[in-house]
Amino acid sequence: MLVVFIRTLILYIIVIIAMRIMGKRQIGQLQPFELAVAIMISDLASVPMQNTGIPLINGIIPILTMLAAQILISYISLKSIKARNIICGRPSILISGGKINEKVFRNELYTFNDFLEQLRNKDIYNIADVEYAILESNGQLSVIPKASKKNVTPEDLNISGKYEAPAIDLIIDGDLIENNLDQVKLDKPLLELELKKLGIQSIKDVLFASMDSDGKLFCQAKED
Amino acid sequence: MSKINSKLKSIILVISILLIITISGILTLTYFNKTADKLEKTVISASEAIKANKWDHAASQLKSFEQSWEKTKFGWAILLDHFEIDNIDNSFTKSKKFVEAGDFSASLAELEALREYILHIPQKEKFTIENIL
Repeated sequence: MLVVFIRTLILYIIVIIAMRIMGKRQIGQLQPFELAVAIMISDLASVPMQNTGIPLINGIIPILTMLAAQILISYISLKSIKARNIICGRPSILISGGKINEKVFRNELYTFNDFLEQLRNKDIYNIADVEYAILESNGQLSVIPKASKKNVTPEDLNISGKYEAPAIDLIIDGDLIENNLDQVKLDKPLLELELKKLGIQSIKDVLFASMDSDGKLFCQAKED
Repeated sequence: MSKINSKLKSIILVISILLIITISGILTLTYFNKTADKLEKTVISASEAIKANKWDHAASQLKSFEQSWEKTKFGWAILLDHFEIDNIDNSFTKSKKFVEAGDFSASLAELEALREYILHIPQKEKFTIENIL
C-alpha cells in the first residue's frame, strides 16, 4: 500500500511539472494536439500508479517524450505559419456580413443547434444580431454583433473613460507580498498604519488586502 | 533578452530530454546484454554438467547463478515489468529442485526454459522494427 502511495506521489509531481512546463491555458483554449497530449500524459501516469508490476520508468519516459514533442511542435508552429495551419488548423468564418456560410457549416460538421447554443452562451439570443461569427481552431466561437446591437462604450458617448489597472494584492492569508508594496509606493510601516485605522492590529490578522489604481485600500480581516 | 532566454531554455530542455533518453536507452541495452550474457553462461555450465552427470558441479553452478541473480535482480526490476523477474525466479526455483532430485530430463528442460527467459530480455529491449511495431 505504501508502495502505491509513493509511486502515486512521484508520478503526480512529474505530471504537474510537465503540465507546468507546457504552459498556462484553460482546457477550452487548448489546441487539439495540446488536448491530446494532456489526456495522454494523464493516462500514461495512471497506469504505473495502479500497477506496481510496471516499472515507474515506463511511465516517466513516455511523459518526458511527450513533453519534448509538445515543446517542439509548439515551437515549430510558433515559427512557421504554414506549419501552424497544418498542426492547429485555421479559423472558419461561419457568418460573414450577417449571412450564414452554409458550406463552412457542412465542412466543419457544425450543427445549427451547437451554433445557437454557443451564441446563447455569449448572451446573443437572435442569430440576426450577428455580423460575424468565427469558429476558432480551438473550437471556441468568436462573435462580432451588428453595430446596432453592440453594447454602448464610453467612446460612443464621446466620454473619455478613466484609466484603470488591476488591483494589486498586498496581503493574502496573513502573508505580506513585499514585491507588490513597491508597486503601490507603500512601505510596511505605512501599511500597518492604514490597517490600524481600519481596526486591524497586525498584518497576520488580514485575510486579504489589495490596492486599486486610485490608491483605495480594500481589506478584510480573518474571522478568528 | 528575456524572450531569447526563454526560447533558448525551451530548446535546451527539449535537447536535454532527448539526449538523456537516447543515452539512457543505449546504456540500458548494454547493461542488459552484459548481465544476461553472464547469467546465461552459468546456466549453460549447469546444463553441460548435468549432461556429463556431474550433479554436484551443476548444483554449484546454480548456486553461483543465484548469487549473480540476486545482484542483477534489483537493476532489472527498475527497468523491466516485474512478471519477467517472476518468470526467472520461478524457473530458477524449479531448476534447483530438479537438479537436487537428480531428474535428468526435467532439469535440462527447465534450465533451457530459464535460459530463454534470460535471453528474452535483451532481445525484447533491442531497438528493432519488430519491437517498435
